Formats: sequence, structure tokens, C-alpha cells
Amino acid sequence: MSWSMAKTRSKILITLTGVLFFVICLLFWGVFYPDHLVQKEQMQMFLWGLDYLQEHLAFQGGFSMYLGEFLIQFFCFPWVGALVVGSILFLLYFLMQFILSKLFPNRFYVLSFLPAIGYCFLLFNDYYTISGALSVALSLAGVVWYIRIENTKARILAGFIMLMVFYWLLGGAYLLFVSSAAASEFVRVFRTPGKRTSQAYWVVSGYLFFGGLIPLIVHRFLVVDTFLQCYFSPAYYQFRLVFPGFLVLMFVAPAMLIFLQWIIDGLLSEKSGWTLQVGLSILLIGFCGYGFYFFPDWHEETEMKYDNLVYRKDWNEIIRQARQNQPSGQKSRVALMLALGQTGQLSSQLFLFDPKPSDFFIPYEVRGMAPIIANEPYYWLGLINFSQMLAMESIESTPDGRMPVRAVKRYAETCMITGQYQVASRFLRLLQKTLFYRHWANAAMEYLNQDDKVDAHPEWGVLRRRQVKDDFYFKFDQRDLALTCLLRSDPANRLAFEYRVSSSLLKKDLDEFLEFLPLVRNMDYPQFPLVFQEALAYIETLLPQMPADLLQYPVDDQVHQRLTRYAGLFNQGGNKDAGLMKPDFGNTYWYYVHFSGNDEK
Amino acid sequence: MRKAVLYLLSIALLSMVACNETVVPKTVRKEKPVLFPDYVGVTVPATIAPLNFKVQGEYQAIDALLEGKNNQIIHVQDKDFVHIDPVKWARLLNESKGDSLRITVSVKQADGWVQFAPFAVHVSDVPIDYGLVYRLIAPGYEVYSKMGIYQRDMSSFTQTPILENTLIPGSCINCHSFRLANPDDMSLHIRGQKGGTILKTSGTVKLLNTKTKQTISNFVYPFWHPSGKYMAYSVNNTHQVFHEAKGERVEVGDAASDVIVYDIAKNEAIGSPVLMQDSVFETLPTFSPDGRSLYFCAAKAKKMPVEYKEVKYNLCRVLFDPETGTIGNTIDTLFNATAIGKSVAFPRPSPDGKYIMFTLIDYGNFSIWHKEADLYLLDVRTGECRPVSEANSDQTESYHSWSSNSRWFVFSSRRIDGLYTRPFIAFLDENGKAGKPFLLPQADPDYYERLLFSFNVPEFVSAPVDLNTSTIERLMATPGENVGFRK
Repeated sequence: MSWSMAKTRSKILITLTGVLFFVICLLFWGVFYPDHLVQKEQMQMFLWGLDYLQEHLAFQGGFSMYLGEFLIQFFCFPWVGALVVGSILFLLYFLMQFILSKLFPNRFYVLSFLPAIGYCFLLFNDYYTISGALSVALSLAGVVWYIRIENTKARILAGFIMLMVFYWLLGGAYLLFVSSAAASEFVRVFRTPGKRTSQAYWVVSGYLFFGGLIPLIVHRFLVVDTFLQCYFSPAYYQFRLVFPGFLVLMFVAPAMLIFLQWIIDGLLSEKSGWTLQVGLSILLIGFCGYGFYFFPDWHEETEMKYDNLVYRKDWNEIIRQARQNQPSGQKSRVALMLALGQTGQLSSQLFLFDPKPSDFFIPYEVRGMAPIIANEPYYWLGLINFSQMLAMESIESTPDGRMPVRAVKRYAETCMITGQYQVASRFLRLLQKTLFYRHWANAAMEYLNQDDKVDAHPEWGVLRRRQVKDDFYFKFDQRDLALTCLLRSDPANRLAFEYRVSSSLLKKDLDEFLEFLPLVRNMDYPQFPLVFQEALAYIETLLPQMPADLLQYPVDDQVHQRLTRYAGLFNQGGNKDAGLMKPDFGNTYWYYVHFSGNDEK
Repeated sequence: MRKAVLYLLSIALLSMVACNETVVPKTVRKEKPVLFPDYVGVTVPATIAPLNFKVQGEYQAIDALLEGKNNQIIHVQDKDFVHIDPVKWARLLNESKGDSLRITVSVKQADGWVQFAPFAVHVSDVPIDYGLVYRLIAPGYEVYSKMGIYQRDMSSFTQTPILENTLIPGSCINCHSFRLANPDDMSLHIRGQKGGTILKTSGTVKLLNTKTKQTISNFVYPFWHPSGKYMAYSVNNTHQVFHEAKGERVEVGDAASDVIVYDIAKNEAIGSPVLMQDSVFETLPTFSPDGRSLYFCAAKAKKMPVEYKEVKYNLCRVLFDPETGTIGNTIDTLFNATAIGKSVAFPRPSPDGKYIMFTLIDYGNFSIWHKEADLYLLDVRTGECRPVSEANSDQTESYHSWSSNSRWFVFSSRRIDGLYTRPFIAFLDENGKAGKPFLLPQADPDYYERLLFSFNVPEFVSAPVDLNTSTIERLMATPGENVGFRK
């Protein structure tokens, strides 16, 4: 094959495969994994202004975090997020390919996909950050620039300057630069006959020495941080206590690939090299297919989808999704119950969704991050103090210490409702510095110190009226007491009513159910709710005679007839065979009473 | 090139001239300006950092004329706030010691300059300590993210970290304490998976495991004996509960608590039956300046949290013999808060022994979550007790600390917004009357608006604290020294 043909073929292959990889990433993140991207946006708050940049420039890797946060603020539009992620991954491939092509001209380098594919898989896990991927890309760009400098002295001087600059701006990815620059120096010297090898040893030793020394100096004199974080920085992985080996592998991968390509070049003929490349390509495609299917956290994606729908207050869509595929995760179950409650359908459709008493609230635990969705039921119920507390817990418990904008917004809302205007203004001013919450914050500022205006607000006013009037200490295991207090303060609080009565029914405590049932008159249901009808019909079977005050509640004939059919099947062996009863009666309260929830009260 | 530089310099000079517009007031108001921070009529030490401020409300520009003794004048004009040159300010204060500054403020509105009535800032000739040490922590609930203990040079705006929990991820750093504002003798706790008490005594730093079989918890609230040989600590079984009613948030209380004295040389906690009674909650110990009395708060034990509102702490005293490390057997009540339905927290004797300042609340001892919390001053000689009305507000005033000369006190207050605790400093004259307190000055008055951390446990220090973080990191990797116990 002629030189020009090889060059053309390489270029075509490089372009085509690169574009294909970009499109796959774009489609994956845009179509199959968008809710992860949306959640990333909610988990941070990028502020416009010099102060915020200065804060980030004050520690190692901070600039990288700043850039990452800047990009992530646009992830509220998931396709923009997909484009950003796809572009960064494409850059990783393109730059790695460029480095290899510069050092080993005129080849197609399938190995150059490895860093991009590796980071793509890492990003499936939310603890690995976008800023990390971006830093690796920027560091690779630095390597590209470095190896393009032909003058040895200028290159080495630039290398030491870049080492220090990259360390401070990008954090751990400076290790990538150091190792790749050192590898490229070795390759340059040993591939060029007559070059002085001692020079390469000195340069490489210098890089490694300073690369190891700088974080030690920073640790001693500049920042209060652990040795681990002084080397790697918090820009890559959200947990500070550990630094995953995968990331270290990413940092040294380019240097290893340079050596590997050198070995391949030196050992194999051009033809054998091509055969190897084809073989590696097949392996890589297989690995990609496996990775794209098995590595993503699909369950978490579903959970995030429901969580994001709650954030958008899209209650009907939550119910629609649940009808198609009933959710099983904690957050999605909480979202579903909240959506049913918000639309007044808990009392009619609760048993369509195999409910459990634990579906209504996320347990409060003082470990890990408090999920942002945890505050939502309390907020909408009118337990504003506890919603506020959980919003603050979410703000304070993010693994990387960043402020989640969604929780900040919720915290400000709870302050507005409770009349803590000065505290609200503090958080609203922060939101005014964001790109996408600015308008909301500006509008909210108009309500500060104006009780009448807040009272008239379609959401805050309602929730302010729902607040309890009697003080009590909230305990998570005494939620029913809190719901009762809410109903005592506002007997027309339909969500509290639905939650409270659902709790009684799920506990199979019919006396408690009957105690709260009279409040149904305040709730403006278009018709007497089906679940209540089923419960009353069931109660009727337990009593010798239905009390007069219960006869006022209309129970449809169809409900009575269905109960008769249920009783018939139940008595014909169904009492010992839930599978027999479930197809026709699995969505009834009677089925729940007899066959469900016995292990959870 | 030279022409270009000259041209640029000329523009810069012209723009500076243009900035300093001559103030010809269109309106002269009789009232004083409403400033943030409120520095109108405050008393400050002569070494305090510039009192940069802004006027509440909208304006296009602000102008301030600061006149001191001996014709010392500073003229400031700016767009957002009064930003005073630190060198000129230091000179102005130095010249005006024992006198007052006269400050005239004008703001430029759409229709011209509005001048307010001049106000005074009193410059005391009584010195204040070098700086403050405080913890910055978000006013959260159960979990915490970033926090740290910082020191601030009060003559400048320089704040530096002493220890941040980034060094020990996931940990809580709290209860820093100094012996008579001496930065060489320091105690602080680190709570978390890796935890312990860091004790720094002249030249050495130790990590202590302070839980003993005989005490109910690790050491909690600290106070140094003036000799540096002992420390008093409480041991507490603390719980939090959360209010749901509007206007209330958190309640922190002890289900049990005792007081012990820690013998530093012997590495032993000294227990006493009178300070470890099951029927009494004893907490928040402090030593008298002569080291011969141990003050503490004591309340009848109640069922928690049900009866928390009935827990009322009195200010009590027991004798202590520093020569033998012996705790007395008789408890005296210095201030019977129960009798007036109140509760005492954070008793702090002034180093000259004249006063004990404490926080008075309706119940319990965790005053920071009590809006009614106010500072009180007990005259040790006469037994008279009065609220420090000059410093109190209708919001929380809680933790407080004396300067080493007993003439200044710093206290945390939520008066600005009801939630975020800020450090206020006040002067106390020879007769025990406090001056109007001033908020710790910052380079940018909006700093407090932006800061989402509370200033927690402000303590004076006489010099910068030097705590080697590498030493702390190394110590945290060790098991630490177990503290013994003796009666």
C-alpha cells in the first residue's frame, strides 16, 4: 500500500469511527440516560460572577470543577447534556488519536478509543464527575501541545510550566500530563538513533520528582486537605475519602498507550499491525456493547425519572408511567403516592399499585445523602418545618459539598411560607446569580416581607394555611400523629387526609379509618372514593348490622356485587391461594387485607 | 509606548477625579443613616479593621467623611459601600484613641445628594486581643458538610483556617477552647469515624480518647483551668428533636450529663459524686479566674424530650483545689434561675474575676435555638445580676467570650436574620456598663449576606494559633491516648 493511500485510509477510518462513537454517546445519554444528566444539574449550583470563580481558583482542581459546573448548568436540557458528554468523550478519543498519530505517523489507532470508552463507562456512575472527564481532555490537549513543540529546551520548559499550571487548575489530571510527557520523551529519544538517552532520563526524572513534590508543598503550605486530595483533588470523584483505581488508570492510560503503540510499531510489520488493529476493533466493539448494556444503573435511571417528574410537578405523567410499568424503588414509590395524593386519586386508585405503608415517605437517616425528594411529601402536606429541615439536610449532605440548586430553591420556598423572609432573601440572592433560576428568584423576591402577597400565592399561600397550629416534636415513626395534627389545623387538607386514611387502611386499622372518614365531606371528591367504598363494604361483612352513621356513605352496587364474587372465590379455596384471587381482585382493598402487607406494618 | 502609558495614566487619573464628585447635598436629613453593619454610636478598639459599611436602601453613590482627632480626615466616595483605606484608618484610630470619630454620610439619589446627620464612633483606648477564633458551620440539623475552625486577625480582614474537616472527611470539628486566650494551649474535638480530642499544650499536640467506663460520653464542653494543669469538661448524652410549629426549629437537650475535671499531666478524668448525680443534669463547666472554684449549670433531671421545657439550669459552684486536684463536696447556687422560671447557659467568668456573664433562656441549655436567649451579667462581689440590655436584641444572643483584659466581650447573635449567627463585639466600662456592640467588620459589608455559615463559639486569642495540620493528620491515623479516670 502506498504512503498516500495509507494516510487517506487512516483519515477516513479515524473520522468515521470518531463520528460514530460521538453519535452513539449522544444517543445513549440523550435517549436512554437523560435523567442522570438532569439530576446532575439539580445537584449543583453554578453562580455567575467573579467571586464564584475566585472561590474555585483557591484550591487545586477548582478550575476544573468550575468548568464542569458551568457546563452542567445546561443539563436541565438533557439533549444539551448529551451533547456536552458526547463532545467531551469524542475529544478524549480525538486527542489521544492525535497524540499517537504524532508520535507514530500514518496509522489507524484503535487503542486511542480506550480512554474515551473507559471514561464513558465511568460516567454511568454519578460519583464520577463531568469535570473529571473534561480535565482529562484538557490535560490530553496539553500533551498534544507539548509534543508539537520541536525545540527540546522550549518543550521541557513548557512541560514544567504546564505541570504546575495543570496541577492547580485541573488537579489529578496533571499526572496524566506528567506521565504522557515523560512517555513521549522516552519514545522520542529511543526512536531517534544517536539521541542522548541520558537527557531523557533526566527530563523524566525531573517530571516525576516535581510531579510528586508539588502536592506535598501544597499540602504543607497552601491548603488544609488530605494528602490524597492534594494529589488528586476533589474534581474527579465525589467521595473524598477514597480515590478509585479506575481514575488512576485513566491518568496513566495515555502513557501506557504510547508505550504499547511503540511496542506494536517496533515488533509488528505493517500488515500484522493492521491485523492486530482489526482484532482489537472487534474486541472493543464487543466490550462497548457489553458495557453500554450492563454498566449503566438502569434502576437508578428509573428512580431519577420519577424524581425529576416530581420536581416538574408532573403528577399525571408519574401516574401514566406507573400504569405502564409499576415502579419498585423507594423514590419512585414515594413519587407515585405523592402524585396520586396530589391528584386526589389515592382514595380511588391506591390498590392498583400494590401499595405498602413504607411507600409514602423516605426514612430519615443520618448517613449518606438525604435524597432531595425526601422533603417533597412533607412540603406538599404542609409540614413545612420538616420539609425545610430535609432540604437543608440535602444541602449539607451532598458527598462533594456542593449546593444542590433544587434543595436551595426548596429551602427558599419553605422560608417564604414560614415568613422567614430575611433567610429566604439570602438564598434567593444566590439563585439570582444562576442562569436558569434567576427569573424565578426575581419573581420570588417580590414576595419578601409581604404576608398578604404570600397568602395569595397559589402554592405558598395554600401551604402556609396547611401548616400545623400546635407545636409538636416530629418523629419519623410517628408520622400518623403529624398527619392528624395537619388535619386538626386544616380539616380540608386533602393530601393529609388521603395520606392519613391510606395509612389506616394499609395498617388494616378499620377503627382508625372510620374515625377519619367523616372528614371526607370537606374534600370535594366528585364521587365517594372507590377505596373507601371497598373498605365500607368489607366492614359491613364484619358487623352484624351496619351502624346508621355509616349507611350515609354511598357504596355502589357494583362494589357489593364484586365483594360477593370475591367472597365466593375466597371461600372456594381462594383463601389459601393468592394467585387465584389476584387476577380478578388484586386491585381491591379486600385482597390487600387478606393477602398483602402482612409482613410490613 | 511611553505615550500610551501616559495616555492610560491620564485616563485613570481623570476617571478617579470623576469618581470623587463634590457632594452638594440637595437634602439634609436630621436622622442618622441606617447602616449595615450598624456602626452608629458603637465603641471600637483602636486596632480594629476598617468599619466598611453601606447605607440601607438604594442609591447611586455613597460618600463618607470620617473626622478624627488632630484634624485626621478620611474621605471616601464609592458606588456600593464605604471602603476605607486600612492604612489611613489605622492612623485615624490611633490619633483618636479615647475620643470619637465623627462620620458624615451622604448618598446620591436620582434627584441629588442626601446627607444624613453625623454620627459618632467611639474609639476606646482599652486594647483588645489580637484576634478571634470561631467555627464556621451551616446552621443545619443532623448532618453537616464543610466546616472548619478559623482565626481572624481583628486589625485586618485576614481569615485563615486552623483546621477544616476536609482534612478529616466526614468529621465534625467542635468546641475549640483556649486557656486565657493563649493560642499555645488549645483543646478541640473531632467527631466521626476517626475522632478524639486534640489537646495542644505548650509545644505538644496529643490525640485523646476521652470516653471512659465511668463517664457517659466523650468529653464535650471544655474550659481551661487558669494554671493550664486542668481542664473542666462536661460529658453529655445529647439528643436533638425538631419542632413542627412555625417559628421554632430545633431543640437540643441532654438525657443525662455530668461534669469532670481532666488532669492533663496524669491524663486522668477526675470525677466527683457531687458533679455526677443521676438526679441532676450538670453541664457547661468553667473555672473561676483564681482557679479555686468550678462554676457549672445544674438542673433537676427530667424525662427527655417529653419534659424538656421543665429543665431549668441554675448557676452553681463547687470548690476546687488545684494543688491536689480535689473537688469540693458542697454545691452553692450562685444564680437561681429556676426561681424565675428561667435557665442558665454558658457561664463565663471575666478574667479579672469581677463578673460572670451567662445566657438566660426559658428552658434547657442549648440557647442558640432560643429566640428569647439574652446575655446577663452577674456581679460576683455584690451578687447583683442584670440583663446586658446594651448588647441584647429581640433575637438570640448566645455564646460569649471575654477578652483577656475583661474589657471586651464577643458574643454570637442571630439579630440580623434570625438564623445565621454573627459575631458581635462590645466594650465594657469600669462600671460594668456595655457599649453598643459592633459586628466584626469585613472588607465587603455584603460578606455576611453571602456567607451561608454561622459563626460558632467565637473566642478571643492573644496571638495567631499555629496548629500543624500534618501533625493532626498523622495523629488521626493513630489510636490516640486513652484517658483514665479517678475519683
